[in-house]
Amino acid sequence: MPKLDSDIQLAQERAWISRAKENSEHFEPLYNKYFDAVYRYIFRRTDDEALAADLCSQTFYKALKGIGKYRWMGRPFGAWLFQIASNEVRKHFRGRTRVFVIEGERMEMVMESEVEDQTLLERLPQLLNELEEEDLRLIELKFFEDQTFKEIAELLGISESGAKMRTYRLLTRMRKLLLS
Amino acid sequence: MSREYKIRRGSFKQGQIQRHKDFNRFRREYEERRRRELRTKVLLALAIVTLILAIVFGVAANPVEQSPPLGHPELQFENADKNL
Repeated sequence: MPKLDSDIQLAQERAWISRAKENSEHFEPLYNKYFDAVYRYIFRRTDDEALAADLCSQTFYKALKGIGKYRWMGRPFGAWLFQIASNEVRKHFRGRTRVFVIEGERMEMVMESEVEDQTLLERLPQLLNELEEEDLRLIELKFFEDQTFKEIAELLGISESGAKMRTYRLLTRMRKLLLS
Repeated sequence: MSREYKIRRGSFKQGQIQRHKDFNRFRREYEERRRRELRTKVLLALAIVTLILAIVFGVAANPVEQSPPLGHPELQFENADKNL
């Protein structure tokens, strides 16, 4: 049976991690693969280009510094990077109001259909505000980052069917709230 | 913790990300920062060792409990009875 594409990618990441443990120079493929996604993740939570760049750099610094102790668990390296990024953002905003940037053109996708009523769209931020950080991450990965359920499952450490189930439940909950 | 949502029209500009994506610069900064951290650790370790040595040898050179030297007022006072 041929190996799945994601299995091949995971095996490749594992090899990159082993090499990066020996020499920081070999961290480059991991950096190049995840930089854009980590930057976008942080930028959405800061709305500040310079700050996002700083926190992104700090995230990769901590990852490279700690890579020697990194234990392979069969999950994408990105899962660990996003965890570090999330901690860095949390530390920065400790005790302050947090920000989440929503790209306007993506808002409609969250509701799965064309929403003509502008007031409904305007209520979306309020709906997202009621989500737990973990649920927000799920929505972000699915609709803002265009990740497949399999990729989401690997990043969040849950099963693929679990990721699907949670997303649909969340959407149903949000739709009810929106229409109520 | 409350969150404030901002709605941005349009999507991320790839140029914005590319401006900050530079592995060679990142690695140079990483190596420099690691060197600085290592230097700080070594200096801290040296300072701790110096402090420990100072405490150990300092105490040995000036023990807290020591008998008063001959001719000390306390001894003179004790001997005063004998002279009576």
